[in-house]
Amino acid sequence: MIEGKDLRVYFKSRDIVVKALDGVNVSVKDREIVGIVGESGSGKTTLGRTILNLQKPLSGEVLWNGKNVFKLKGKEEKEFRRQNQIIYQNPYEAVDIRLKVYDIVAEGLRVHNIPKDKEEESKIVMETLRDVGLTPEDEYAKSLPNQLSGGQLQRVAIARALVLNPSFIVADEPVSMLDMSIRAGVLDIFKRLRDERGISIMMITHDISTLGYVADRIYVMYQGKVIEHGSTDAVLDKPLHPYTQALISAVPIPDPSGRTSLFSIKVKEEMEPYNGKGCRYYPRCPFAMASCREKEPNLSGVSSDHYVACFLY
Amino acid sequence: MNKVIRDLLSRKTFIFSIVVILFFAAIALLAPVLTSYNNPYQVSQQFVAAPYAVPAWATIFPQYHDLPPDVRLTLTPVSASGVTPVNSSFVKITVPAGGEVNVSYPIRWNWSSPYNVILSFILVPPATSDFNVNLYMNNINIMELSPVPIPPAVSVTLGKPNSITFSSQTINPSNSPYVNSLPFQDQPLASLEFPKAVLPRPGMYYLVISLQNTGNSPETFLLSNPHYTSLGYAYGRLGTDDNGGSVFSEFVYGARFDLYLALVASVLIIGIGLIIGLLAGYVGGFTDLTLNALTDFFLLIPGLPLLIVLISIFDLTGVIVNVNKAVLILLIISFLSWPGTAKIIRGQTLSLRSRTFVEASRALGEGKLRILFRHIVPNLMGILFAQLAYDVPGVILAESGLDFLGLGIIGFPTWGNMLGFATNDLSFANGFAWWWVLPPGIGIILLSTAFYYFGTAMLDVLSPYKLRGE
Repeated sequence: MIEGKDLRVYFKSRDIVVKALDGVNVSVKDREIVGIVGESGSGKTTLGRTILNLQKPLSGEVLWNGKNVFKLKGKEEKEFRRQNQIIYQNPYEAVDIRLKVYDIVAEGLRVHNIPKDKEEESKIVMETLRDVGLTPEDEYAKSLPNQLSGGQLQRVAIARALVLNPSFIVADEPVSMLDMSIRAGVLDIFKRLRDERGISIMMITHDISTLGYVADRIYVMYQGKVIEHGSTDAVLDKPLHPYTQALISAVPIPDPSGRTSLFSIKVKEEMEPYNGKGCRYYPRCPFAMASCREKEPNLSGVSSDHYVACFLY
Repeated sequence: MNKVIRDLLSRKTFIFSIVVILFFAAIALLAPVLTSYNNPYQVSQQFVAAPYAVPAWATIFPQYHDLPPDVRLTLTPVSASGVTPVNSSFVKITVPAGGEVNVSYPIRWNWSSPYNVILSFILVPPATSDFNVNLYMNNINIMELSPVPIPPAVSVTLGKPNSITFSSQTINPSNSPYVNSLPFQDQPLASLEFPKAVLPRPGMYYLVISLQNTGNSPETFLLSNPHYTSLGYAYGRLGTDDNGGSVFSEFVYGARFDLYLALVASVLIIGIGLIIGLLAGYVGGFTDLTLNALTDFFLLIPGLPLLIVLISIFDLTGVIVNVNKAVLILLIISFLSWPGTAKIIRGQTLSLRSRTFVEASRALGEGKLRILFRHIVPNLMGILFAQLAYDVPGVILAESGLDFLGLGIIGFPTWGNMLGFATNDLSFANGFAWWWVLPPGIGIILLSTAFYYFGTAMLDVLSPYKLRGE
């Protein structure tokens, strides 16, 4: 239902050009949680922002039900905004801290003139607060953001996105600021949204174990490129790209003694700078070959639900 | 909101600023009630007391102890033979042929000499021309009235009411025997010497009106009770300036004008600064570049010299006719002072624009204007208040500086021109007119400090970072 095609976003800072997105193709289908995983600076957040037309790409297009979102105007653009929401990593940054929780959540309703009167507005807001687990909702509605904890405020941010009854949500590291103990609670909200309301979600994270818990499909990004994607089971059980393997082996597990039997991946110290034409990962790749230095690999399917960009396969 | 007020009230500096600002605001608003002189720089409102009169309360100090206030008396005669009251204000005096009757009016004087002495009464002389009237005060012959006026005698109309006024300020050799009796070189100073001669120190003095009959039949005179008036050296709450104008009135109306000017100019400055800063910061790109260049241009102009040149040009050449000088100064100060505000607001807008919550609002579908007025401007409130408070002292100081130099307003009192006029006249002799210099000086300092504290408190309390508890 929403699809990014060959997206390129370059940031220029004086002479240095940072390729945040360099020809990325993603798609999110109905009732699907898609995970985007990668290290810091791999372009995950930029991808999320570009998909929602918060960042103009250099080239490429985003199709929402077949329409290019960068060319939407007037009513259509408003409808696009209503149906597609974003949840940010840092809830303290993402809400206007002068406003009360009620006003933060009601803001979207007011922009789109959804409720007919104050009563209906209040009903919708309270319902949404209850949905995200902020009970008693009357008290939360009256409080200011600085009176809430990070987890509570993240739930407010989620409520703000949900109140418009969207069909697609970009969740940009929604749990990375949260305590381990409340992560599962917030992640369950997302799962419930997909199962009960049929909402599609693009979950951006650097923590691949989170995706194992919620995602249906996973895209692995490295320096502005998708290097591997496929169904969660395929990617986690049989990671192909050396970088994906490294990511998975970096997940802390209770008993690390068995880890070496899983993969024996060592990431090389970066020995030489990237030469600008080969595979992005070769400076750190333990399996780097001569061809990796010369040419970038393209995504190719190893099975119907598993694609990887690596010359090893 | 309660939290904000509680937070504000917990700051001593804020309490101080509110008390001071309210005090001056009250003075400014109640000016017409507090004083009856609305412009002591007008000649008609000068000489309400002697020049350089000290404040009335200053007479508690020993060096000012004996200074007289303004005195206004209606004198009543000591009863004597031949003097019969007609009604409460007139007496009838019958003078026998070739005789003389003295009517004595006691004056109880508790102070040192006053600034001047004015006596006025109505005299109805007989229809004959055989009489002479002499006025004595402290046994000095101060005035002579005669039907045959040979200087220094003054003429009277026979048989009709004559309004007689003696003023120590207009005496000269041709209208006062006192001046005539002085050595020639002292005569020009007679009006200054006179009060010291007739009322030298506290005590009992008499005004004697001596009626002489030089004819052969008894004559009858009608005489009203004389009014005595003198200006004193102790006056009102804050004394007087070099022209005897009330310093308190000047101070009060000065506060009124300064506050009014500062508030209007600050609002103008904030208005221009806010619009330019918001446009530059929020729209960005070429608009930002242009507006920023414009701001830099105005920022680099040396303010005060340009202000002086502009005002001189507009004022002296009359390029702009029929424009109130105060309005001109207000406009020029405003147009030269907005760049600082614009820069600060632009910077803050740039920072706010790139905050995540602004992008989140965009993602919710809010339009640019809604984001501007619902998220950016309210978050600028702390800075706006602070800027308003910081601009007020700036405007007051700039305007006072101009007035002090004599380039600004001179037609009516402002704190600046009070200080400016005062500096011309300060000397050891008038005790450096402390009552004239200190009020506007302290007023400017207090008001500036108060607004500064007010702004700082507002910035601290209203800025969103504080709300967040950072």
